[in-house]
Amino acid sequence: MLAFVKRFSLKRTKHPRGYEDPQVLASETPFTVNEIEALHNLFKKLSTSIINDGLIHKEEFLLALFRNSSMQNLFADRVFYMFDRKRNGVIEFGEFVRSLSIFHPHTPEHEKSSFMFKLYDLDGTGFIQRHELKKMVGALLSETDLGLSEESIEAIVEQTMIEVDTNKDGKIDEEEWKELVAKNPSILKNMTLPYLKEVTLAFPSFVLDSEVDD
Amino acid sequence: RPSGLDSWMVTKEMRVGKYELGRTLGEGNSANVKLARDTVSGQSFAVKIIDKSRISRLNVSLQIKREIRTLKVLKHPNIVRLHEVLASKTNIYMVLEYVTGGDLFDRIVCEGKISEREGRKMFQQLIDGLNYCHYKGVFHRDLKLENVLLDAKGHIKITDFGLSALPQHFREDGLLHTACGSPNYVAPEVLVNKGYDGAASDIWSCGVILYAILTGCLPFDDTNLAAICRKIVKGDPPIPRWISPGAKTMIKRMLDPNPMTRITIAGIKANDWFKHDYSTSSNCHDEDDAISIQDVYEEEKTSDSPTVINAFQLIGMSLFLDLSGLFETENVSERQIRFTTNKPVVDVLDKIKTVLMEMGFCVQKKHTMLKAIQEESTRKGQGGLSVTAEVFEIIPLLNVVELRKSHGDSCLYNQVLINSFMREIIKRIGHMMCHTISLQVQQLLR
Repeated sequence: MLAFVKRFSLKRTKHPRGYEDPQVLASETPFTVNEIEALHNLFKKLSTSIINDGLIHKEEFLLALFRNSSMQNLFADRVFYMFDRKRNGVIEFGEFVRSLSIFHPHTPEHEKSSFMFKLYDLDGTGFIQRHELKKMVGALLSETDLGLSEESIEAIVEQTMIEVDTNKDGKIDEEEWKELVAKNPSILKNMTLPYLKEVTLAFPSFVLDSEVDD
Repeated sequence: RPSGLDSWMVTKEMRVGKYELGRTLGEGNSANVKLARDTVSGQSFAVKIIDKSRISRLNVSLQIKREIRTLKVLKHPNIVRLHEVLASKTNIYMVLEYVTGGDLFDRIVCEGKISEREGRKMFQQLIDGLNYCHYKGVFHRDLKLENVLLDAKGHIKITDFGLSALPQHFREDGLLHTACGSPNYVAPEVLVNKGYDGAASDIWSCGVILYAILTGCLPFDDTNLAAICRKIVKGDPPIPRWISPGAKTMIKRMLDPNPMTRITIAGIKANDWFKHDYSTSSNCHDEDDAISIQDVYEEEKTSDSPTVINAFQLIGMSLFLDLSGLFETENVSERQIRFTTNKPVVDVLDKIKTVLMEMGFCVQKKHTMLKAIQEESTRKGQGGLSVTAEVFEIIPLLNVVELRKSHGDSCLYNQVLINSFMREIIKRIGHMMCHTISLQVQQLLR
């Protein structure tokens, strides 16, 4: 009985909250079990960089991406929000893998497109509204220290709304978004990470403690 | 490949992930190599199977991880490529490129020496592959005929980087300190167990290979190890009279017992005998960058006016939407520089082109994009560097210029070098900028 308890508690500490069985994750994503084990090595590194609790906090996410844990940026917030599917302020392992899987080169374009639409739909209304687009252009320009005049920003937003909002209701719906993406596939370029095809080579530590049966 | 197909029938079917394992290709001390077929694509691979219980006993787990990381960065037509790694509770599987034509040892044993014309072709490819590895900071340390494979077209592929050492394994004197390799191919400085320069001892081993290719025999051979070692330290192997003077000089310069005066890769590449009928293997260390959606729509452009980008494409330029930082040691913001300009596109591109050409880059212009490559020949065998410049129009008379450098390159030396190039470009075209996009330009200019 004691042995059982010991074993049980050992297992608990080994896999923190939010850990999911690689088998299950592999069945739902383009990743293989080994690739998920490799991603777990990356996840362990990211989720213990500031707070050692096996969960990725926003500061850890920023630190990993930009070597800076305290920066403020609309897009970084949005990406974190999209990864944090349960909306509880942290990224768990399952959320990490499922979100990254959208960025896999083999994931169909429509999934990437839909992820990006939601990312840009700041208020979560199901539309990208004019003011949201303007806010994002503003965020990009402030990131770039590009002091454009109010009119120039208006002109950029106006030009794009004319191009994209084909039913002229002042907001971009998913259909209009799909047409835009079909015309300009480069819009999705951030949505594909070629690195995801090489995770077993990038994080090879998993080979020593893989739990895949023969 | 068809030649492997029959063998599936005779062996007991075994599956690892999406791979079906077939006949055994080779057996070694700590690993077996089996033929494998990707059941999805139908492609053949060679899978190196390592028994974990054996490696934990030998305490080489660090070495395995190192080997995987080493092979990961090597992507060259003359190097056997590692595609992925799989593992189970008991085994590690390294999925390698399958090379059909056997190795150079068997070829020479079966068919004898190779003509100078064909032998030189092989030697040129060997040097190309080796040059590439050295430029990536990887030394082979066990080059021998058995590790040089031939593909169906007779092109050579170097394999088995199992004993390779990366720069972090240097001691403070910068020299490698582990003796390894096969006796016949080992350089004298490795034998006497002084620290040695991995590049120079690889050259020695290549000299042994070149000798074997052209004569059909090993230059230093005897019935016992002590005699072989004596011959190696003495150097100066007998060279048959029928070997051409050019080849003879090359062999002698490579088998110079003194590593300090031994010919370098740069020296080999500048040699007339070597250069005869020489064309560089296409270097593909940028191949990951090559496949981008960007390139697809690039082709559709016909005029010299810049691509007009809409608000979403502009937003997409945010560094915060690029997640590649998760997988790279280099900061995303260090890879590219963007700035705006209200100067005419033609003027901006011409200026950048002039600056790049003065720095020794070879520049190609395609519409409103410049691709600049600094060939390795101008860099004494250090491999090529590349910079891309592209102009986008946000609104009339306001353009964004994007400067990208080659990335995914693990060689710190090249990254430092290319950073200094970027700094120089920014300095010289600074007067054309309205605003710099992001802080790194200021950092660069500091």
